[in-house]
Amino acid sequence: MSATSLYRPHLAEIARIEEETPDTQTYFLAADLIDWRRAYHPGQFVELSVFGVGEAPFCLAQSPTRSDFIEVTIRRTGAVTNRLHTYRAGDVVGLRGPFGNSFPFERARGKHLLFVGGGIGLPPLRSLINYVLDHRADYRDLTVLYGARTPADRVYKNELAEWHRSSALTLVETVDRGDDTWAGHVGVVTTLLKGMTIDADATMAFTCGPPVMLKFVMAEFLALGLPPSNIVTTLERYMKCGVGKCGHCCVGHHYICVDGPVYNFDQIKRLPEAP
Amino acid sequence: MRPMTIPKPDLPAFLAVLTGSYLVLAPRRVGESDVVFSELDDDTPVELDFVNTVAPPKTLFFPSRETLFHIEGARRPSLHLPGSSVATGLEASASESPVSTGLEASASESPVSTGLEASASESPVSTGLESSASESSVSTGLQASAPADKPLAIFGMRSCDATGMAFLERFFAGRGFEDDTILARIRAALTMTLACHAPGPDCFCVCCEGGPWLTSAFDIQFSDLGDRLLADVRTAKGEAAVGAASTLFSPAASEDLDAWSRQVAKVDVAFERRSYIAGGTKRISLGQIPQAKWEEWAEDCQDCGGCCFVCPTCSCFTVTDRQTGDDSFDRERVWDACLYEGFTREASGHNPRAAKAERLKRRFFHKMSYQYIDVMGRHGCVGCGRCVATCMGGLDISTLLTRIHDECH
Repeated sequence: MSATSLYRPHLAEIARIEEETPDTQTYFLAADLIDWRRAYHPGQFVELSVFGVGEAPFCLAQSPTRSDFIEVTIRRTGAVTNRLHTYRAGDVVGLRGPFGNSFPFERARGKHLLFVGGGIGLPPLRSLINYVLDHRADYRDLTVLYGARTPADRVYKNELAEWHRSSALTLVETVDRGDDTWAGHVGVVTTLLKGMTIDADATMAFTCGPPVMLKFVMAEFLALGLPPSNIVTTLERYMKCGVGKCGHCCVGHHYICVDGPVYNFDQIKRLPEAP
Repeated sequence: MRPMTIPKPDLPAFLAVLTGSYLVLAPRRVGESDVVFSELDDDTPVELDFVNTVAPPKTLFFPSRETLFHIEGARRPSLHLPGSSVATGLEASASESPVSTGLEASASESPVSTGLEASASESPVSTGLESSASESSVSTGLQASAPADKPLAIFGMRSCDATGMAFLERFFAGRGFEDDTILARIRAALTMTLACHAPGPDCFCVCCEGGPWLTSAFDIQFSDLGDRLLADVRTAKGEAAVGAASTLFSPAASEDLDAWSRQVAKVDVAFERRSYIAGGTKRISLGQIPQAKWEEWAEDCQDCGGCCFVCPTCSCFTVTDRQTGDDSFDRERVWDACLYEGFTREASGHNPRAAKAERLKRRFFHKMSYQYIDVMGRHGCVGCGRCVATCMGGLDISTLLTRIHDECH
């Protein structure tokens, strides 16, 4: 054969699909034969094949402590995701991975954790949030700030409701535009950060969301006095191989797929071609 | 092994001996000026008087388009290994790979098939995902019906290109993931370089530690001494090759080595093209080049990607599913180029390198920065000069690095 083993996907059947928002779904992929099923780390990603269209990278959206499935939450955006959104339970996709580094959950032990997610940026953070909830004694205060465009654009609505009820974390939500159903905050997610008081040196902050949000969130984090190395995000780039070969995801001398995707702000500043 | 010589008229006989173990390729002239690597035949002689082949030898190991696997049925797929492909049989390591779950020698060991098998009937649990490759060998389950091809023996690879192949070998083995297909092809090959005694006008290997003579990255290094070739044999593979044709070779005499030394001294100063690689590399690495310069230079880039495709060390690729039937596809690896606008464009439309200047800057940073030298052990230019001949905008490595030296103080 000609296919190097690096590029051969496992086949994984879609066991269940959950509608998150009008354009976003969570896929529960049966992965009985995938030996890393519960052995990946929060922050890692997979290359998912929609055969006949292609392959694209998606973060693993659930904590490895939680699910017997591989969970990916995917917004309908490009060719692969548009086709995937026509799939039903029983259809089969390809999976390669897990790839990339992970959130520094070890270094975060004993610290307060602050999560700021925007829209479809919550899924990668959710893998770590649930990991922390399953190792709750290892961490101090856990605060999650989540912003979405509208109430309908919130992902994981059932889980958000659970988090609101839970005493294990503090969840504050906001939407850019409210509606009749929405009694919560209205405004961009950075407004929730303004005026916060945090124990900056004892806090690690994790953020993921659209580029414009990240820019303002980073600025707010720095204004709160967080050391750059305590500010963590996950970079996204177009990528094909996931294994440091195809060249698409290079930033500076880093291959985001193997050296990342998780970086702290100190590392990002030192990338010669800062994203 | 001590240096040997072989009379030029005996070269075809030597290469013929190698055809027992290898698919032997040598430089041959096609048309007026082009020289390419091709298989031996009786019609066209092996070319010894040439600057370099049109395409770098990477094409022999890392083809511009290659099927990774076939897909039957998009939504309920079965995946099949290509029955025959470029350099099949050279990639023997699939069953050893820890990543592979479905390609193992005996599918029967696997309690449930995962879908990439070559022989379906042995699997105790049918999932409908098996291949129908009934012709495949039951003994291994790995081979396609075609017999294993021989590894390549390449005679006449230029020093710069052998340096490039060593670079690619390191690249495809790097960052914790081995591209076993490409590595197997490279590592099985017999590399017989032909050192340059007459560099061309575009050549600048001498400025890039890419030649004209090598001290590594070859099995046998030949040097042209007029009526005979001097053979510097450095590896067991090279010794075995010479040993298989030992009657054709003689130990080099002291006058052979003297002639070689005189030639080395002459060739080292024969390069017309001088390239200020070190100065340019420093400025690229330290970000000392004004943005306005990149923008000015980028106006001359045609986005053609030619520099990448002819480069012995460029390795970027994309992966696409090409439709081959109603519901069947080939997943293909195809060369890509970082100078293409779509190279970094994301599904959302966001493109971090939408500007041509950013792409040009990116290419030069990738090939010529300390940051990459730290990773790869050397910079990414071997001085073959193909981009000099290819680029219409004067944005080849030699010219642009020299301009950086001259224009960016």
